[in-house]
Amino acid sequence: MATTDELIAKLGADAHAIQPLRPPMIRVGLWLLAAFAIVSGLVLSHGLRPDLIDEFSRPAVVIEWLASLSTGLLAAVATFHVSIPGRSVRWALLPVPAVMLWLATLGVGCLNDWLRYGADGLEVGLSVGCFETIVFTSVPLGLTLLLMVRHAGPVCPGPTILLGALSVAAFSAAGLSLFHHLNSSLMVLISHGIGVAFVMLTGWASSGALFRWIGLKPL
Amino acid sequence: MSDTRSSRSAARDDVPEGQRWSALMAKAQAGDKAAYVRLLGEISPYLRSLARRYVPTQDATEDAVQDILLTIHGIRHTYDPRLPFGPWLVTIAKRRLINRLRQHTRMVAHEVALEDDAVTFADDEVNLPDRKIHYLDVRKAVGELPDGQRQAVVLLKLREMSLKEASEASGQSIGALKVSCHRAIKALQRILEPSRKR
Repeated sequence: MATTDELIAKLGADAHAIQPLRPPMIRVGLWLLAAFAIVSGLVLSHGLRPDLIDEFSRPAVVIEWLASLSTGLLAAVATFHVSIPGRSVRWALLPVPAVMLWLATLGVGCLNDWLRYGADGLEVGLSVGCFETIVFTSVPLGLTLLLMVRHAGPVCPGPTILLGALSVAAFSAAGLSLFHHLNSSLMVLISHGIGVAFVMLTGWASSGALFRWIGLKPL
Repeated sequence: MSDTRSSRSAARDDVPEGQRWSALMAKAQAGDKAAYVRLLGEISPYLRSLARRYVPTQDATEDAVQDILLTIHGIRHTYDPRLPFGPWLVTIAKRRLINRLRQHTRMVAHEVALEDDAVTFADDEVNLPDRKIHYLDVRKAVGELPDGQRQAVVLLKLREMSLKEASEASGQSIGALKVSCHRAIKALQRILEPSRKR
């Protein structure tokens, strides 16, 4: 093995000029454009749900949808910050309020269904189509994000992937709400919740392999 | 949690030579090789002192320092020269060291220490001390061999002649000597080590 001085000489010889990363917020903006294009493509390919206007005239539904969008947005901001060495790890807490709001709105939806329809309003079940859509939409979104934060591989792979997965799954869920109808809020909670959790856990468990595959080895 | 607050906390955590190293890294990002070599040379002792807290041996320390330098080289574009250099450097160094420590712990957990170094094979026989054979027993056993075999083993093994010399001395062909010697060794093993598996 080379000595440290020899290694420094080699690295010095290889030190060509490089372009420093753009500020995180600009990169968040670029990724949001990509995410918007992918999710819009998905919504257009399925067509908007027929009851969209009626549904979105209810404040609770709008708040729930905005909460999922906010979760995606804030998790993306957190992802681009924690991926850079030296940034505060507290950025990871940024999406927490939006996640809480999202879960709370889904919980309130379940409560309303129960008050309005009794036990019949709490239809339990996992919509496989819903789950699949969240997972499969997360793949192109996730790959785009992974490519943009691949520098996090050797330093901060786990939290970067976890936050990134939350962001892509939340955007997928928000897009899904525009073309897919579910009978009860509980089904939305279960299907979206399991979909998001699955994307996050899969991403977390495979973060090392994903970064190795994308180009920078976490070692 | 804003960048300003992050910068303020980063400035508090900055390394002693942070400002100079920051300037050197900015030059390195622009392609100044001399500045880069100087920067890596200057941060190495600092990294070495940091690494010693995490890894036990000198060799392991040097490996860890080189790993950090390679990582810095791979992601040097992530450094923003407007921000302090220290937090960037220390984050990379500590994450690499912790990763190394974790790998080491994982590796140790999968290793099984051999408690008895003398036992190397499962077979009982090979772990017994060699039985000493008295030279008189050998002489007696050689005396019991048929003439041809006795001559071959005496010339080739006891007098350590070459096949050619033994052939000239005995008048036997080289092939016959080889066969006789092989049979003689087998016969001696049977006489001297009757319990040995064959």
